[in-house]
Amino acid sequence: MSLLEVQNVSIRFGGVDAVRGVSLAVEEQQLLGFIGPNGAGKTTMMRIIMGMVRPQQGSVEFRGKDITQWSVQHRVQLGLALAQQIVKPLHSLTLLDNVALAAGARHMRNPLQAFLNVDRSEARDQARNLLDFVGIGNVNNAFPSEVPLGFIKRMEVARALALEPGLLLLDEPLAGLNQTEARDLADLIASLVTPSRSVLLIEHNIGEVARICSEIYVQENGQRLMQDKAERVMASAALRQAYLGEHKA
Amino acid sequence: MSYEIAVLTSMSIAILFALSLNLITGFCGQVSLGHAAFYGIGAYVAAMLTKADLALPIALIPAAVMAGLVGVLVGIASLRVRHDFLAITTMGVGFLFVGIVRKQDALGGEIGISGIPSVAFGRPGLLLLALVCMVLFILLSIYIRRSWLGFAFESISDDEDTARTFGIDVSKFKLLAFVVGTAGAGIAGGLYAHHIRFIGPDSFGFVESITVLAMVIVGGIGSIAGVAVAAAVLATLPLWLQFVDDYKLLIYGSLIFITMRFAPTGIAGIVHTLWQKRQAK
Ligand SMILES: Nc1ncnc2c1ncn2[C@@H]1O[C@H](COP(=O)(O)OP(=O)(O)OP(=O)(O)O)[C@@H](O)[C@H]1O
Ligand SMILES: [Mg+2]
Repeated sequence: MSLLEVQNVSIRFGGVDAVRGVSLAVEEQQLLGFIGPNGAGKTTMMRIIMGMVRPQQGSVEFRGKDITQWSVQHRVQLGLALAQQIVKPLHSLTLLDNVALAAGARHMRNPLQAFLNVDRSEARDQARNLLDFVGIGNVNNAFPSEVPLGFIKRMEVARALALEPGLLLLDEPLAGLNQTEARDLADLIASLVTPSRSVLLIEHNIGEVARICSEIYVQENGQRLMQDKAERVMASAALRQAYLGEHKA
Repeated sequence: MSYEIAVLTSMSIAILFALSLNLITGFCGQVSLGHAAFYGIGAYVAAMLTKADLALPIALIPAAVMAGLVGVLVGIASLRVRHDFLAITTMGVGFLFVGIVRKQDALGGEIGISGIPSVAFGRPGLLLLALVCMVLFILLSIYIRRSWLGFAFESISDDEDTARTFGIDVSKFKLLAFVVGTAGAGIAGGLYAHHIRFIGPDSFGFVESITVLAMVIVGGIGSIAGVAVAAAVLATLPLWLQFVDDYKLLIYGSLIFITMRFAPTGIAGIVHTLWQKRQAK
């Protein structure tokens, strides 16, 4: 049984078929690359998996449970976490507290429990370690408005990790980084995969995806194109067609 | 002496009332333009009960419970609306309250309730009770601010969709803010009824909702100290300056506008900035 199993999902926004009958599986301890041209429906797939939008058809199973109708917060509690393509920092909190809030999520499972817990030092320590880990420990106390986009992207990776997810969804974490930064962060992402954690990595930087992922899933125009070993995907004519087709259109 | 006692009582009640809204609007980020309705519910419940010979400190409990219950209902109804729509919904609740009370003969209808009994130990007794309630609510606010509940409120106030991605059940937290905030307003209302000793539907109308919102905004949305200071000052202005009493809506409305436009962090924000400048020197 796969860790995540998306089956035959479709979603339509107004006149746009953003995703059409797509199936996708992520195994335990897997780093799965997810690529596709602009507008392929990658972000939409991630939003379907997280429960931020409901598919009009199909199902999502995680850890053997059918979560198609679950709310975002319950999916997070079950072990999903994401860092979105468009950054969503909490602007009124420092980078440290953005991460600490996620690190203490277990204190906030219900309001009463949250009311009875006061100590934030443990969560802040965890947050400090995670920010060090993603390489921005030097700007702990800055607010999101005071740092470049690349820092916020990393903070959001740390914030997602703080939730201790079984499956981490990353939507273009390398966007906006220069080559060395992208390489460093890609190595770090590769190191996140453990027996208890898988990663689904949406990326436009195909070079880095091919370098760190052993398996790649390709989506085009809302449909599944292929899923295979990285080298086979990279060598396929269909992939080149998909990316070139973008220009033809 | 009795004048000072009356002023201090007004101040304490206003601080309690403003901090109760601060919990909903300041901590949790949910705007309310109808908070006076809950103040009114507390006032009517407490007044009816003390007229039936219950002691005020005990009557304040059902006053809080009733206001809190209605607060939950309004909260549930408002869960799906945000920002401007929430403001309009809560404003509607404010008008609804006045509209309903006007038509209830049991509540004195248009005329209201007079002859509300005085409290044991008279005016000083009421002041003491108001002070105790105010201090308890301040302590509760400070504690919530420090707890994970306060942290969760902060995240919801900042961006509730992002708060959900931390696994926070936003609806439950919002409802809790509504319950505690409206129950606090209920207690403030019960005290107010026994301070003025006459209440009518118009004591809890739109003007009062705007007044309490002005206290929160001018003080600095979310700041306990700022809101308390603003509440104390704004509650006593009409006592000293007759024209403030005559033009309440105009003056408080302008205060909200000016603060939002030129100093959105209110008194607390201004003091904080000045303090940082001093430190920098
Ligand atoms: N909420 C929405 N309402 C209407 N259309 C939408 C919505 N979300 C996505 N779409 C459309 O669905 C299609 C897929 O969008 P999506 O953002 O999932 O693509 P993507 O693969 O993530 O693209 P990119 O690589 O540019 O991030 C696009 O045509 C987009 O305009
Ligand atoms: Mg996208």
